[in-house]
Amino acid sequence: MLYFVTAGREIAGVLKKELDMKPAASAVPYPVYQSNEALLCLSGPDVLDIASALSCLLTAWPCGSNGLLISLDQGVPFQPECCPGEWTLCTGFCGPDGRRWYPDLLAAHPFQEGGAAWELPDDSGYWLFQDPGAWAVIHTGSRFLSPHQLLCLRHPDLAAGLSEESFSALVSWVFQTASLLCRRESGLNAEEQVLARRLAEQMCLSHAMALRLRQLLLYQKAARGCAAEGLEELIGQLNTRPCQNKREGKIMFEQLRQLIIP
Amino acid sequence: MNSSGSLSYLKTFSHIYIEEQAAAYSAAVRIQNRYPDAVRVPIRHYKDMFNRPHQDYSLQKQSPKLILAVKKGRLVYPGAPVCQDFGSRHFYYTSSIMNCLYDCEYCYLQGMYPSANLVIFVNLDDIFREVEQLLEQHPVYLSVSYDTDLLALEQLTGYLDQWCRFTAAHPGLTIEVRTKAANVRTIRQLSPCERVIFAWTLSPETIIRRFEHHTPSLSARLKAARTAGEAGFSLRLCFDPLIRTEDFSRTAEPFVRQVFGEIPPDMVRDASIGVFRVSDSYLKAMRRNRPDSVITQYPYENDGGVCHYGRDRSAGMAELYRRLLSQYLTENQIFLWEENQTESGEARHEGNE
Repeated sequence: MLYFVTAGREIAGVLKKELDMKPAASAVPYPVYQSNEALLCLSGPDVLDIASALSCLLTAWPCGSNGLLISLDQGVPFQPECCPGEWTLCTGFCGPDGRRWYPDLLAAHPFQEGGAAWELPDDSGYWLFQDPGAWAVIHTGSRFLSPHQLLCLRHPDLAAGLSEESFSALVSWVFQTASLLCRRESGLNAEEQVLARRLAEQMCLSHAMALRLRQLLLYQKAARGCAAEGLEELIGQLNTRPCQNKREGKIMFEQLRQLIIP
Repeated sequence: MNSSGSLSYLKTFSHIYIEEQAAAYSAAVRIQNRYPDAVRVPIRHYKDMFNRPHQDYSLQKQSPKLILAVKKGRLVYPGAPVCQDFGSRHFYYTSSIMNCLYDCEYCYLQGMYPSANLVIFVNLDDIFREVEQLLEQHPVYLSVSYDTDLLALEQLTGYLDQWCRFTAAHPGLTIEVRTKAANVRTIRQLSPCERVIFAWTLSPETIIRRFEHHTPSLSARLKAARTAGEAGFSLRLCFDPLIRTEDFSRTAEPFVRQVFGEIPPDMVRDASIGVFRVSDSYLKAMRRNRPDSVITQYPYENDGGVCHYGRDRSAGMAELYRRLLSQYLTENQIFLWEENQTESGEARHEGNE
């Protein structure tokens, strides 16, 4: 899922059209729009609203490891003559107290790069945009997401930035990035988790032993692609006649362990 | 973009994050010159980049970044109990580089460090000074390449050459350079010193291909090891970690035979044997970073905070290799990691800056 957040109605309007988004029914006290693949939250420009809106959005729609958060807005350059007149990927952020934060840049991209700061921290030329809102996005987003899941893009000239070609290319890149960084859900899937719970009950396992069982199944899945692979007979046996007590369960557990780790 | 039109990862070291205080060091200038196209990002402290929460180690390995920093505080630490001290009384280690270019599935670094990005400390001279202070008190056995692979990074840093010269100039110092690298040309360019021990981690080729990603082949490592021995360096062979697989017993003997078929036993100073073991806290992070790995997901026994295959199983694995190695080396040359060393490796980073 892609999570777009913007302070500006113009960007929100273009995004809604580009991604065919409709108003989402939610308790989030900010306008939220959604499509099959994306959510959009219009936060308004106030820094506290940005933090609040993002917090509400990520709580109402938890992101997990496969989402990307994309903050899109007009950026105010510290030095307009030095700022690239195109979408710029913010690769560093500086807060009001001088704290720094850097996203993970993993995907190839076509953008210029530069920093966004609450106030100009130094004259290195790296800091391009004065953008308290960007800090609010990062400060809040980093509590929910990994550093590679946070993308922040700014354009000094909104009209140019929202031109059809420029914006379509940007959105296309965002989807490609999501595809590249998408992680297959790992661990036991829902069915395997049910299996683990059922086996633990059928073997009368203590909590500690149930955790050991879970680890055995995780190993089995890593080794053979499926947690139940090779265990069908034992599972069938337990389905027919669960263990009557912990002693029996322990014996059955050991049999299962021997099947997985001969 | 790659040739199929889909997006690709940024190349290794596409970005170099440079601490403001590190920028003026000659090492920083030299390293940056190796990557003229890299984007430079100024930072205040390497931990602003290295210690961010919720980092994805495995994803970062696809596109690792370089961080240049100045190391502060204590620079040389007492050696960790989980590491072999080879009978040395004054065993220390130091980290002039954090993280490694390789990507071995069993590596504890992915459990110990929150990030896969490479940190190079540019103030090597400060480390040398601290070692000299220790040498005023007693001889020092120093592991310089434990949290990284210095030989693999030598073209970038030149640190190994400096360590070799420093060691040659300080008779009380012996250093160990743990490596999986195979850059023979680099080895030939180093100043040989008997007190520089090159310690190659060796595994059967099946293990290398399956679990030691991006590392040189066994035969390449053996060739490099032989080159180091012929050049005048001391040679240590590390059969550590031993990884349990279905064909463990079957592959051991041909593997050891291949090793000593390439490296004459009389060229070898000593060898170490260690069955895989890792602290439970590191293993937890490793499982999070590599949920699909049979190495991280193996149901190890937790023995006082150290996870391993079980005492009997581990002892059997070690004993098999001890027996095989004893056909080529004397008993005094074979060092086994002792199972009573149960403290976790975390202890060695107490007091780290």
